[in-house]
Amino acid sequence: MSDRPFLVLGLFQDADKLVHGIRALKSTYGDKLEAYTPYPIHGIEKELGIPKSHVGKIVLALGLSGLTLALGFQSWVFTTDYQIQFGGKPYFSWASFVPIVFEVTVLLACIVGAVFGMLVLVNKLPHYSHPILSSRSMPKITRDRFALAVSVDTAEDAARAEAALRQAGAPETEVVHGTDEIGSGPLLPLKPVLATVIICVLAGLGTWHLQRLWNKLPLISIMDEQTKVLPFRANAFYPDGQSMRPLVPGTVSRSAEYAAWTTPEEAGQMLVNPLSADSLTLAKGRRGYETHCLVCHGQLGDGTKLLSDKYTGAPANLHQARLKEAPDGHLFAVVTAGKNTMAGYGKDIPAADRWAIVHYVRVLQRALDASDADVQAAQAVAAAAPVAQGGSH
Amino acid sequence: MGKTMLPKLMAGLGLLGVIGAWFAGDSARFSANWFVWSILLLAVALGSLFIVALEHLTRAQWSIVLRRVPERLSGLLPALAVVFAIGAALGLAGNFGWSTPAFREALATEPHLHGKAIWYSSPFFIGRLVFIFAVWLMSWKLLAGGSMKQDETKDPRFSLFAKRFSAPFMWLFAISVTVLTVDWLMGMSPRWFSTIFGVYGFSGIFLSGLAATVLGILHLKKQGRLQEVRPDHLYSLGGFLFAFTVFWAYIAFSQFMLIWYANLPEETFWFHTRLTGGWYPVTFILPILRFIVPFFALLSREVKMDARRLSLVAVLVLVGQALDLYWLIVPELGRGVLFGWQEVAFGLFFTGLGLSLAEARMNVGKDLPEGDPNLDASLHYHL
Ligand code: HEC
Repeated sequence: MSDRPFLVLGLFQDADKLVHGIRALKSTYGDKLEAYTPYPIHGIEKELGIPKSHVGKIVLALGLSGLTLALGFQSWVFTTDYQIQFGGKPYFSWASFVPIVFEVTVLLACIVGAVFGMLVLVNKLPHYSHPILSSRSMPKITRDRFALAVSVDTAEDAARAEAALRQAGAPETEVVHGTDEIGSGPLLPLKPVLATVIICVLAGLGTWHLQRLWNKLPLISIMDEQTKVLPFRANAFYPDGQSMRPLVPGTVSRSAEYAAWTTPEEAGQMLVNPLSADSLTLAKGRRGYETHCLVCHGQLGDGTKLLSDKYTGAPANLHQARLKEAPDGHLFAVVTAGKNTMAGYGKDIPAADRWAIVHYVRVLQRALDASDADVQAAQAVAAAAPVAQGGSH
Repeated sequence: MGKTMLPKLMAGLGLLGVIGAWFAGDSARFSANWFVWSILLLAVALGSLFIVALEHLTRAQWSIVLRRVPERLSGLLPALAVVFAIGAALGLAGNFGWSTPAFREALATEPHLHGKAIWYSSPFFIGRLVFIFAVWLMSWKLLAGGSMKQDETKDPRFSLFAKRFSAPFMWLFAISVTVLTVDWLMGMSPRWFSTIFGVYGFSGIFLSGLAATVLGILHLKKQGRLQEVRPDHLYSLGGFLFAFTVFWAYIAFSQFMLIWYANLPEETFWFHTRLTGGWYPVTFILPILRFIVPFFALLSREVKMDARRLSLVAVLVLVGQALDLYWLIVPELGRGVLFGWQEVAFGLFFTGLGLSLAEARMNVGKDLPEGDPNLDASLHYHL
């Protein structure tokens, strides 16, 4: 750390006197002047001849990019990547995107744009220290004095600047030594940083504990207490005192299945797959298979389970000759009602999706030992149409 | 000469059209127009009164030099009480909304409307209307009248009184503005309800007061008066306009999104009316006019400090408020977008009336509140 005079500070009593001082010294010192004040004084940058800051433009640009990013990302996710129906709304429900668009816009504009823009453009990162911070006048400048600083190089310079500042109306002056080279000054004020970290951790732990207590308080119990109908509870609202309502006599379910079969073999005789094996059905079947069956029957359906050995069941190899020859109805019945240690999926997967899964099992069965002719046929189809057609039945 | 006559000319010409519209016989349309425009003027007056009280309450010093302008604008209130009284005398309220025979009958027969039957019972309804006007007139007398008296007496105790009075005034103002918006805007569609509606009404009222204050100041400055108001003051007013432009959008969108999301038929029909047919483009334009354009216009510091550009934005805000009121009221006639000579006549008449009244008010009392002990601090206000 070199010890040459670096700045001369003149302390003024108020903002007006500071501005007069700037005007008096402007012609001699020009862009060697800088002001340090306890609060921002609008218009002072004009007096000092500092050009308009770019922070505003950066904030605007980042805000607009945040807006575009959030809007684009949500539109893509909800319309193409992962379509989910919310309350019958269209996939592109712009109104539901707005809160997140708002958040991301503000986040990028304020945190990234304003704070980082300020740190770099105004606070001049990577300079992390400045000689003025260790000057005697600093406490006063943060309280009630308005400092005008003149950059100087030599002791003679400093003496001249001091005289000029006094003449311009500053009752107090100080010569500050040091340099603003990167790497001068203390790296990080260790104690405050440590204190901040400790306070954050304590505050975090405290909040976590408090909010667990807090949630139990009667008025706050977050949505624990609601005047809503809960299943299997008493409910004074209805005359019979039950919350669950009996079905109106003669109600017909729109989705219940009436299984006339009892065994897979029987089902194989009775049922026909109602779906055609088009690409849409196969895509749906594949998704169903990979969601529900893959963990046990394996990616290829060969029975190599992904589950750990704690699961002692032995999932069937779906490529065994018996299952290849079994009709669709047989497979459907197994998926619906289960078999031995395999549980049924009748309650979890809608019937149409179960039939689609059966189609996909057929695809797996055929694909594993495809003949050369099959491969050629598939290539021909793939070359003719971008959408692959699968399954022959 | 020609310029000062213009508002009176507009009002006169418009009045002929308004009288014509009365005799043309379409009384529902006549009432709708009447309420759109009289509530617009009321918004200007109430917004100005609110600014006066807000500045007293926070003991703001920066705004003292310009306080006379909103004080004078809130002086439109007595005239507007007359306008409302004329509307009542013409029986305009009976044309649609809560006072139609069909809805009156529904109040008596439909059990889920029983709560509203009390709210819309005539004595309660009229009592409320009288009460809110009494609150406004009294507050105007106390705040604006007292301030003008202070010019002569130079009694600093008034400033203390105004500060103390402004606190309960905020309560009264919140209640009265909610009554105004619920009765005279939401009440046009009496089956509909939205709990944020009072706040929505308030945002428009405050914006109207701010915009009118800006225009009043710039008008006086053009005449060489009120030179004490400098760009620093304009900047602060512009900041206010900016903040409440965003506030309006926030409230308007919150109201829309919650109703759209919950999708309850008893709430969505109100928006459905406005999102179908000819109203769709109007609904589309409204946020552009009221939010997007003023938002980007007011982002820059230069615009907020520049008299000409700031006055353009202020005019835009008032146009937005007029469109907003039109959008709140007219769809309830169930006849699609109405725009014809009647609307033009009403626009001319009430714009002319508002401008002439405001112009006359601008000569009441002194331009500066000379008795305010803190005026000096305001004169030397720097950002
Ligand atoms: C929890 C692991 C598990 C999952 C998940 C699972 N299975 Fe099974 N699966 C088994 C086991 C174990 C067997 C052997 C049952 C037996 O015969 O003892 C089996 C047998 C089968 C069989 C042969 C039935 C027969 O007639 O021998 C078929 C077909 C089958 N599963 C299809 C499916 C399909 C399709 C899915 C997805 C919907 C699925 N499985 C999901 C464990 C599973």
